[in-house]
Amino acid sequence: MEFAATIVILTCTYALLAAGTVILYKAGRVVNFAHGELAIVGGYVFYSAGLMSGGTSLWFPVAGAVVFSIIMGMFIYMAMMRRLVGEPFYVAILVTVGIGIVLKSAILVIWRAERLTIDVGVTPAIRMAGGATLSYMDIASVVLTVAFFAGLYLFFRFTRLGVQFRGTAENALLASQRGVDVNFVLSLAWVIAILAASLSGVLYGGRAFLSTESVTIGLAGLTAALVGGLDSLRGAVAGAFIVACAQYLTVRLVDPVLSEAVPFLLLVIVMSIRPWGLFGTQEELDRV
Amino acid sequence: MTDILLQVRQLEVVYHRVATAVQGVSLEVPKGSIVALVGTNGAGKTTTLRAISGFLPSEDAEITDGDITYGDRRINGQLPHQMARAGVILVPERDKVFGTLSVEDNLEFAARGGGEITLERVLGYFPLLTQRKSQLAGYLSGGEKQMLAIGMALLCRPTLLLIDELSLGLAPIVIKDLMALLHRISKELGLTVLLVEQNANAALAIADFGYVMEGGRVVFYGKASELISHPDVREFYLGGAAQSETKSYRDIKQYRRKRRWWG
Repeated sequence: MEFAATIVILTCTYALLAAGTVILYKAGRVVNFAHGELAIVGGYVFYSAGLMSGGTSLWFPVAGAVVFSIIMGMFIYMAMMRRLVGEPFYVAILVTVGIGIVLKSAILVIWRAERLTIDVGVTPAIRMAGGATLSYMDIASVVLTVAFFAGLYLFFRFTRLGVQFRGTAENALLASQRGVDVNFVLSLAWVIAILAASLSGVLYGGRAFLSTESVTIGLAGLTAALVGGLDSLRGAVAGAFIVACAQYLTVRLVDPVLSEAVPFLLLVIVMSIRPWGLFGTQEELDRV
Repeated sequence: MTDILLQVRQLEVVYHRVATAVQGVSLEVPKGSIVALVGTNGAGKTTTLRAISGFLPSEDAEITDGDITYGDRRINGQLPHQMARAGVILVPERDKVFGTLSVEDNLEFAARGGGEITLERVLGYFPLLTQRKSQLAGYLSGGEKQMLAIGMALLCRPTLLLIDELSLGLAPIVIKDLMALLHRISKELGLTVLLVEQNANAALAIADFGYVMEGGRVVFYGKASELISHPDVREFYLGGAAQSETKSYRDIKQYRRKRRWWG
């Protein structure tokens, strides 16, 4: 049971990251290499907001992380990505690499690269059959991830803004000609993606720790997205599950030191057999 | 004389800072009328329409000279969504529907609440779309895509409808029906239409006024009925000269008259 719980929670962390990567890719054909950094900074902001409020209420840190996501998302799109439309795709990718470096330095400067574990003050509570214990934090991880994906599905499927989102991802010019402010939709994509990343960072910080090293979860998330197919949200979940399983099994059966390398090994295998990912569309590959 | 809804004066559009696509184009679209803009490939018709409906920054196109006035506002350099919200709706030549969305979602995408043009009314004009509601728009036939595109445009509450190549790739019978339907819709809803066409015959048949473009300039203009009977226009754009005497091979190979620019 212990291993099942660990894998599920790890899957949640990676799935949130991968979902953000997929949304950004679909919306603007950008592969975001700063996603891990954004997640960890989101976690730090949550932590600091919690400290500032004296750790009495959860609302303050949650609001802090949400505000961070909104400001960061708008800023990255409006100040940087918007100007790169029409440039070759690798320009935007390199810019995200730059954003990642800046954020990593920001962690060093603002939080002095402390190793922090987010403690929301709930003790391990539920004893499962088979001897596993689940903390409220773990349960919250699963519930929040499921809620996020369900919300995303309902948003894209049933709301008018969601439909406009999908249309803009397909053809931004036509969307604009039908009265949709493309800049608004694309900044929203960044906000949603960073929101998911921050949530993932908080969950990760709750189970493990936040530091400049933990930004490597971004690479695990990116691998999950690539394994599942860069343009498929379903694939993001499947990819996250595969990466989580592989990592867990390596730590258990081989050597914990290798766990960082596992995503890349997986990436190489999937890319050589099915370069468009498990759920991705094959034609999509030509555009990259 | 009726009010002028759209006025283009001495428009000049340059792509990528070097390629001049149209030069000194002037035209007027009176309120409530159908105006046809005809001409051969590469004459600058589409660019003129796109300049009116707005360019995205990524297209790297710029209006370097002239004015576009819509109502009493100068609208040079507005973004497409700003023009769309002001009631200037373009049905583009290609990629006119969202292929990955269902027909229903396409219509929902475009719908701006309020106004007298409801979904029921649009489906009343295009009953075929009702049957295709849940299909992906990418799988529609060319004619159905065109109907969906016009339906979407209508749901955007247009005052001025810009249509680029209504007839492109469609069977003559479908073109005839669509043109007749467009005429009916514009009269019933009081829409002003600017129609860009290579198929000059079909366009001038329903238009009130016509402009002929050639090499980035307007070379003829006038009432549609006058253009249809104008000998030069007949010969160069409508196929076949007025007289029907037998010609020698040499005469057929070249135009009787030299084309002149009247702009």
